[in-house]
Amino acid sequence: MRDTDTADLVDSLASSLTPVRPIWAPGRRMAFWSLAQLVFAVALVGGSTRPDLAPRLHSTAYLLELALLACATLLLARSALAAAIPGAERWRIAGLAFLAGTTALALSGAAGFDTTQAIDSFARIGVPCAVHTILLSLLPAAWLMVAAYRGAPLHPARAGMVAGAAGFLLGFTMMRLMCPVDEGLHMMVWHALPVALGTTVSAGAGALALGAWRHR
Amino acid sequence: MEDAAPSKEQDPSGWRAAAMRLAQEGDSGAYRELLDDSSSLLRRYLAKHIRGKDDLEDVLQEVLLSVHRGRHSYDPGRPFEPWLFAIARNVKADYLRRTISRQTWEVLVDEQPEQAAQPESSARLLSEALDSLPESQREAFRHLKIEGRSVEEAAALVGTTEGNLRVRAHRAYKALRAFLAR
Repeated sequence: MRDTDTADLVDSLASSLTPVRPIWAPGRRMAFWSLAQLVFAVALVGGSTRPDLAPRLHSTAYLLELALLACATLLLARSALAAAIPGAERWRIAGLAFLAGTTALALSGAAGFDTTQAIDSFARIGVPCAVHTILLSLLPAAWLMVAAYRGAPLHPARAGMVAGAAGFLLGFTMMRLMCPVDEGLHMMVWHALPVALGTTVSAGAGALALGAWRHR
Repeated sequence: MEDAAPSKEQDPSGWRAAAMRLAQEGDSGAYRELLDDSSSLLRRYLAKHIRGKDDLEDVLQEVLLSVHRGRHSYDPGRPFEPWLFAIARNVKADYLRRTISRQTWEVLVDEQPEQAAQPESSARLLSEALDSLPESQREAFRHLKIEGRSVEEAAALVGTTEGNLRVRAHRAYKALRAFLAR
C-alpha cells in the first residue's frame, strides 16, 4: 500500500536531497572531548593546585570522591554525546552517573558544617569559588551542548541536562583540586550549588535549543 | 546502488545501512528506495499503536520528515533500524501525548463553538492560520493552492527547486492542519 500523500512526500524528500556529513561516532567525539578537557584542566589547574594537595591525596575519602567525580563526569559526557544519535541513548548509564555525582557532591561536604563563621567572611571566601566553578564549567558544558546540537537529540531537555551536569561536574572537580577549603557549608553553597544550578539551566537551554534539528 | 552493496532480499539490514550511507552522500535514488522500504516497515509498526488511517499516515509522514532532517545523525557504523525506530517511537509518543491531551480537552469542553461554522469566522481562522506560517511556507501554499500555479511555475517564481517547494508546501499543509485542529 502506498498512500498518495506519503508517496508525494517521499518524492519531494528524495528530489530535494543534499549530501550531509555524518556526525562522528560518540566514541570518537568522546576521545576528542576528553583529550581537550585534559589539556584545559592541566593548563588551568596545573599551576594553582591547593597547597595541601599532596597530603590530601593520602586521604581515602578524598581519593574516593575524586574517583567518583571522574567516573560520573566521563559517563555523563559519553551519555550527552550518545544522546545526539537516535537509538544510541544511554539514559540508564546517565542515571547511574547522576547517582555517583550526587554521592561525590555529598562526600565533599562530609567534613562537617562550621556554623560559627561570620556571613561576610563566608561570602568573601565563597563567591570567588562559585564564580570559578561556573567559569571552569562553561567550556566543557558548552562543548557538549554544541555536540548534542549538531546531532538529532530526541529528548532535548534530558540531553541538555546531561551535557550540563558533565560540564559542571568537571568544573567542580577542577575546583576540588584548587580550593583549599573543605568545610561542608562552603562546599555545598559555593561549589555544589553552582553545579545544581548549571545543570538546571542546561536542561532549560537544551529544551529550547536542542530540538531545533526538527525544524531545519 | 553500487554492485558491492548488500542485496535487499538476502541482507535487508545491510542493504538499508548501505542505502542510508549513499543517501548521506546525496544519492537520491538510493534514498527514495530506502524511504519507500522504511515506509512499509513503519506502517506495520505504527498500525499496532495508531487506529485511524489518516492519523497513521500523518505520523508516518512526520517520521519521514524527522528522518530527513536528522539524516546527518545516522552513524554509518551502526545498523539503520534502531536509529529509524528510535525516531518513530519518539514521533509516535508525541502523537499519543497530543491525542490524549486533545481528547481530555474535548471531554472538558463539551459545547460546540457555534461561531466556527460561520463563513466569516472560517475565513478569519484560515487567515490566522496562514499568518502563523513561516514566510517560505505561506508563499508555497499561496502559489500552489490559492493562486493555482503549477509546481514548476511556482518554484521559478520563488527561486527554488521544485522538490524544495513541494517540501515547503507539505510542511504548510501539516502546520495548517494542526492549527485548524486546535
